[in-house]
Amino acid sequence: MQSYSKYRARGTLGGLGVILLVTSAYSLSAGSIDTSLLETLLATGQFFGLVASDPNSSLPLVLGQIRIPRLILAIIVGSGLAMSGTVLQALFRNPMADPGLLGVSSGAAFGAAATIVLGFSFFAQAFMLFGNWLLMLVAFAGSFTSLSVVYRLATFNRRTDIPTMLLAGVAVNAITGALIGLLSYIASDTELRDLIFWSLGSLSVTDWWKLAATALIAIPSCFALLFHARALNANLLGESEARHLGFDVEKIKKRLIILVALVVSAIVSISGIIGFVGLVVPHLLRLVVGPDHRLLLPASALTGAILLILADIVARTIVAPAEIPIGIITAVLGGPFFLGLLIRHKRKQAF
Amino acid sequence: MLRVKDISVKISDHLLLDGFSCDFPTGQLCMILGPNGAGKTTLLRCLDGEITPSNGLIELNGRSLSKWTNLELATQRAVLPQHSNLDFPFTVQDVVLMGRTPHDTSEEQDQEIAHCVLAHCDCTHLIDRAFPTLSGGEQQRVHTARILAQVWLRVADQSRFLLLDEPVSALDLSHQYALLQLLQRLAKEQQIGIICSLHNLNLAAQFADRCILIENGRLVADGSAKVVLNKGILSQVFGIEMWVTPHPQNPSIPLIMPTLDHH
Repeated sequence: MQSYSKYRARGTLGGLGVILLVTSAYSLSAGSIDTSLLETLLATGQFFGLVASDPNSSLPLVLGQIRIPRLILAIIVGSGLAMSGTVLQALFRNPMADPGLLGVSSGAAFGAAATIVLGFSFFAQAFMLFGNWLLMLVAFAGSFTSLSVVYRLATFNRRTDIPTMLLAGVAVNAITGALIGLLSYIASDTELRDLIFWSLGSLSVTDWWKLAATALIAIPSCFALLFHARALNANLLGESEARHLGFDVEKIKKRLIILVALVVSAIVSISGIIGFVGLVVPHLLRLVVGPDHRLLLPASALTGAILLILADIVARTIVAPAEIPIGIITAVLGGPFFLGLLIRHKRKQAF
Repeated sequence: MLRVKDISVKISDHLLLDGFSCDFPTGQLCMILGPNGAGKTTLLRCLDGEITPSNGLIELNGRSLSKWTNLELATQRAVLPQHSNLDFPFTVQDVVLMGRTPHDTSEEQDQEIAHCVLAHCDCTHLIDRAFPTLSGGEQQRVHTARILAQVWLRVADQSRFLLLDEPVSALDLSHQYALLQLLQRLAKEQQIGIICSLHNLNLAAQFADRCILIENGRLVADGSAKVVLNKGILSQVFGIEMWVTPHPQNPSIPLIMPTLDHH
């Protein structure tokens, strides 16, 4: 295991940045209309008005209306979920935390679903005007409540009990699942389609405004998380230890819970529940770059983005021209990974 | 000066500390002694701010402990808890450098301090090991190195304190002696106030500038090892007959062992 070093951190982040650029470029050129990299770049330039446009080509429009917003969303969702997972694992001092497993995502999904089903009928007018924001606000309330409940239940005497934490997550997921089920029972057909989309997760976005709303909440919150790297390191030693190292632990904990709830709710309210990214990414990265959050947090953001772009390429191309909801892809990959983790954890306890 | 004025701690009807008063100056290695459940850890946790006493007052340099911010405290006081878990694979060097978190010294200086304290704690050979792979005693030494790194340099003209809760509980004999020798020297040469709870009375007799004996949350005796560690008091507090004789090499140090006929 290597110690943290500024130079190694810069190298690693630079390398991940290059990989992110390459996967992004590939993602833009892959899809039902396959294009070369050069054509893609040219068309991207045309869409943004940087290069003289060619009136015969539909490619700039395809890129600008479908692939570019989708790519941006994949980056936001991937990095946001991976960072949230990393932060939750440090907060719980426990490598099995994840926004999906702990019910943070489903809390947000319930908030979003309730707004869609109930909001349309009661506040149709207001919803038209402030739809995206209202959705996110209620989703935030849902995710914040779930996370607070799970944290309270699982943490006592300043330590986190793994089984209690996972069980509390199971309970929150079950409750929100049932409530979403109830909502789908009373939902109209169009609302129902939206709800199903929420539970499976999808990156299809056609509305730049919706994307902007998510970006406006998620991106600053992610950057704010980056500033807590040292506090998270100290928290891994224990809460008293972090306090004795000069951190205002209670305040920082509250702030982190709010930030994670903001990121997750902003993401879930546009893309639904995409599981396991927050669990898998910090785990794999810790093996490679070590546990220091000054490197782990930004590296999680980049790796989460890369992973989700790749998953999205698979989701769009494997049954083209149709697509599989991306939540299914991440669950198919992440589920077995989680089982593997549990087996490893059990072995460690047995010896 | 760390001043404790008449503090009591009551947790669900149990009086853990009962009107305890004591002053801890800098430059002194002070050992807190007493049987299990006497209140040694409770006293240390009051001093480090984790427990707020239900009565009484604790002051650091004339200012109530609760009036200091965590960061202000962290620059002049480090705490070694009895148990500490770290399951994430930080290297030994990373763990020790965390002790420098409250300070804004340069990275090079922090590295230098880390190497220095690791050498003092006999951990230099462990520097690149992942912390969770170390043995219990090695982990305790690394944590000790971390808190030493935290107060290694004096900040402006602040006083410095070290609070250690059973720092030798997992150490072998030679490391026990090495650590206490180091603490004794730090108190004397660096003017650090060191407050340390301990079970081994002979170690206390040999190294303490001052011994404080606690029983049932009350101060029983306070003074030099020779005064506090006498046969009468020890036999009464620990409930077994003790032999106390002068150390053959140095008659001013009492040598303590239970008598053979206390069954």
